[in-house]
Amino acid sequence: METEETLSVRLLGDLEVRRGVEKVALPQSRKTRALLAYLLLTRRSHRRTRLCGLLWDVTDDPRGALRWSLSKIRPIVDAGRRRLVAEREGVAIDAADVSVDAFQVERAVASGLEDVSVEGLEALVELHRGELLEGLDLADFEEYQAWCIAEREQALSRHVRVLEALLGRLRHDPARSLPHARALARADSMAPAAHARVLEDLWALGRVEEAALHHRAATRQLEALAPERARQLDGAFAAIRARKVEAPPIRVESPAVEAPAQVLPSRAVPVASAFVARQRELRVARAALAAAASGRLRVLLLVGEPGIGKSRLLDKILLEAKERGALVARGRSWEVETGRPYAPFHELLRGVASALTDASIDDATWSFLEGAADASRRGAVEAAREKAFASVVSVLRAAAEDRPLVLGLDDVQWCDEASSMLLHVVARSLVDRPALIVLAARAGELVDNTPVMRATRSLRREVGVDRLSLERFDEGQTTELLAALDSSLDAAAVHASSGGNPLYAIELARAGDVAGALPESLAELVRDRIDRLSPEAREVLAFGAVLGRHFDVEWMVELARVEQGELAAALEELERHALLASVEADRPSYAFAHDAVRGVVYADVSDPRRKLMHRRVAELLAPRAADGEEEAALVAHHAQLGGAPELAARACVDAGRRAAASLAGATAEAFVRRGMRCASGLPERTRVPILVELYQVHLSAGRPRDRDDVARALGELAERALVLGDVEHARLGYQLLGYLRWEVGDVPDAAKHILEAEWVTRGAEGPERMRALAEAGRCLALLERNLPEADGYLLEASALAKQLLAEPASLVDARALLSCHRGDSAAAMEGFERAKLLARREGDRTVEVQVIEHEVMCAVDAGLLDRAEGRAEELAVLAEHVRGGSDLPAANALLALVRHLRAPDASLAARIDELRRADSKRRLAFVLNRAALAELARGELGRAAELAREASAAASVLDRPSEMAIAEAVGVEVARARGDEREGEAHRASLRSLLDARLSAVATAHALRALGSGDDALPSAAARSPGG
Amino acid sequence: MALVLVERCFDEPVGFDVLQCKEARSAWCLEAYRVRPLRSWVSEDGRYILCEYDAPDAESVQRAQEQAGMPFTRIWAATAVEYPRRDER
Repeated sequence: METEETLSVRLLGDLEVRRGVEKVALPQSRKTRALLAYLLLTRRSHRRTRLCGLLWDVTDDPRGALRWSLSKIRPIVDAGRRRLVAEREGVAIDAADVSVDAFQVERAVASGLEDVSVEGLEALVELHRGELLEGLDLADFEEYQAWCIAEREQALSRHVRVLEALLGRLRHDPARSLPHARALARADSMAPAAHARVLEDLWALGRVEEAALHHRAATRQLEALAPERARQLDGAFAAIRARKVEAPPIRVESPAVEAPAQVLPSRAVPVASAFVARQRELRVARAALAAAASGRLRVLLLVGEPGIGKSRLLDKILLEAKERGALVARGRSWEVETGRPYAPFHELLRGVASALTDASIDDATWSFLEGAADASRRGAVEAAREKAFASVVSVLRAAAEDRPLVLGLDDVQWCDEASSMLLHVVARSLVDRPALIVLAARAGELVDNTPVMRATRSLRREVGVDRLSLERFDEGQTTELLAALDSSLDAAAVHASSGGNPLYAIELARAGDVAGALPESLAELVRDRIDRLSPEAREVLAFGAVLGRHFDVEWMVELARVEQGELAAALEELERHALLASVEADRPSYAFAHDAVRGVVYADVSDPRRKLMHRRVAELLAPRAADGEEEAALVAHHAQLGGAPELAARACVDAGRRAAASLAGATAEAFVRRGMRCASGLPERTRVPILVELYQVHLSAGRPRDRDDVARALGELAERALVLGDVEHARLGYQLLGYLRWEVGDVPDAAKHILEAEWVTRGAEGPERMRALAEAGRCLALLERNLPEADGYLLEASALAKQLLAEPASLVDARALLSCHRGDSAAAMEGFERAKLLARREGDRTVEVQVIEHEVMCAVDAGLLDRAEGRAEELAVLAEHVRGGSDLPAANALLALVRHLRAPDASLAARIDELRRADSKRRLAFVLNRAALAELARGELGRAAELAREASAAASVLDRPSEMAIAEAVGVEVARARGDEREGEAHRASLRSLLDARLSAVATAHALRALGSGDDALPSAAARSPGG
Repeated sequence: MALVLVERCFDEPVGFDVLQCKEARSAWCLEAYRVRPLRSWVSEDGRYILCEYDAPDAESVQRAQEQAGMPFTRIWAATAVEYPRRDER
């Protein structure tokens, strides 16, 4: 018994909640509705953190969003009693007393369908109004989407079982069985048996032509995706035709496949020309346009439910503006393109550019907007963005110079992150121009798009936004609409049925003579119309829905496997019925006349078929994406939905790179997460390289929050790649790890660094390769250049060494050098000692001398003078025996330096002079700088300044920033002691410019001390300093 | 940048091609040290070779040579002294 407080929920088809018989208004936010459905269907409590991760991005303030959504759900379910249990940690809906359609079917199937009457089975079929959670897809949230797809599969298989049970009972009643057979063929469209039953029933009813038509449509559909099943159906149809029927076929003797299909007519209605009602909105828009024309930007936001007429109003406003002499351009976002940076702006800016003669958007800007920037250098990308934005701004400002500029952006609820940013920039730059920006959005879904919300919120604050909410039509307006459409339908009935939604009313008018009661939903209405289309048109329409946005006519030939002629006829048919409309693009393209209609068509394609179709689209687009012609984001979308995880994961890498190149960090990270999920089930050999590349995207998208986890994962992946013999990815992994450990913004560009490393290990195998890598790493470490890359080489060499059970001295020395640079003198000392032993064991005197020299220098900087002196003495003895060069003068100079640091040593000057003559600028700079620091401490300012000056000159020839910084730091201190402001400022300026480089921990410490607190450059330098 | 000379002396004649090949394999390393080979003189008997480099200092050349595993006897920074041409005397 239904009382006022009885709550019933329909999850099969559009989500619907009723209190008694009264429909409850649902929140428009798709995520909120998805959450409601999730809580209902799962029937248990979920941790808040889990729900946050399920439906929101880390950048969305998930906890806040969850709270907001729950506050919308509470009034819906808490009628009469408290059902939403939202505790501190767990959230659940207590649905014990709620009637849920999906559960009814589930219970019936579980307890066996054998005992259910035919009427009972028909009632169960009736409950299946459409796909489970229809329209509640959230493709970017894989976990939710995976759950949703799994639930749908189960619901569909239950529906199929009910239909099969019913059809089993109705074997001798074709008239009653036919609609159910059709439903089964729709639900299980890839099953030849399901189509055979339709044919059987039609044949038994003597509806031969319809049988031939269905056969043709089903064969076409099967042939496109599973040719062997088409042959099975052919066989079944041949068997049916051979059967003797009660009512013999009329007219057609042999219903051959080639028999021309007779397509039942549906009413083609002239549409777009009619613009009715919305006078209030138009007045506001006209006022905004007039205000804009006077030289001040206005922003208009049109919001409303799907089908309410936003796009129509937007077009009308643009048309009127154009008629009044404004320059008008329009862009649109597509749901499948939310991962494609700047997508709506491509269209919009092309529109502006084509209207301008004296200003144009340069190639560099186009290439940035198309994501072609080099993502490995963050600084460069940022600069490219700044230039591109400046160019867009200047073109738009120029466009609004002598006439009003009106920009329209439709469906901004699907606008990508990068475009939201550009929109904000553009709007702010047009503040003092005669410009009007009109945005149209689905109100509910707008709140699900955090970047757009952020942009519109800022715009509201900074330039003001007029929000126009489009309400449903009243009966008078519906009547007006029907009159404009020249429809003879009863306006009152249409209004009652459509609830004042104009799209629904238009669809009703198009459906023409609706026999009996008007269809209950837009879905039913559209379905009826589609059933009357030719098989080719239906196939094209289904692929169009799967593609999800405008599509190239050429693609359709490949996708739907139709001839050019057939396609032309199908497109014409679909256009005549206003299901598709041609859109402006470089090549002939079409799009759905309305996305709500696309949604219906899409939901109506059965799941397995949809999967195959998505896969087909992904395979078609993949090579085009590789050529840069199409978007990797689209391939990722289709491959994922098509169950092609490898293709999807690879496309996620490409799409992520593009997003990172457009500085759309959150988008790039979303692709990384998606790619990782897709890759997780792949075999190791395929998975490892993809994951390494995904981490590369992750690091180029921004500094990771989970640094340690990423480092651990990368280390393991690189090692696996090495074991698998995938040298390229092992190297990339170690390079990334190196960069991560040195926390730099730039990430190695795979192609570039592999090219460089080619030099290092060309043709080398095993031990030779390890040695070459160790040398390369050591070379860079000694030069104090590309230290992250050096670290990467050394990590790879270490992993190889571990495999080979080897430990070369040069490798250990190089690692100790990096530790010393980082300021970890304990690790460095230990490393140098070990390297010394190893060099001795290898009998390599040259390396031994170098290692000891490194140890002396490191000990000096760490203030370990006893150790430094002991090693310097050892070095001086050894250097006697090595071949000529600067080793001996260097050893002597270092020994003199250590002694001088304890107490003034007159021999130092002579030793320095020898070093000068040996032309060893690196050691000279080191010794001079330490001597200068000692003189400074002793108050010998003149001497300190002189030594530092020479050190600085030597260091700058070699481009060694750390020694240059120490020299400048001495300069600052000397000037300060002398009270020489001008001199001090000059040194401070040089020092600040050096802080951008990767200084050693010692140099950073001297620099920071010299600059003192209060210097702006300090915090970033301190943060970057590897030592602290 | 300075002119740096590398002397190589051998007991047996050495094929210059072999040395050049070895150095080319470490071109990356030379580049990193900003050491640029300019030209070489090879004695007729193949036992002495003098190579001229453009480099920041002598030590850079030494390090690069060591890392490339190139044999050398002495390395020194030098200044080129051009003789005035006959017509300028």
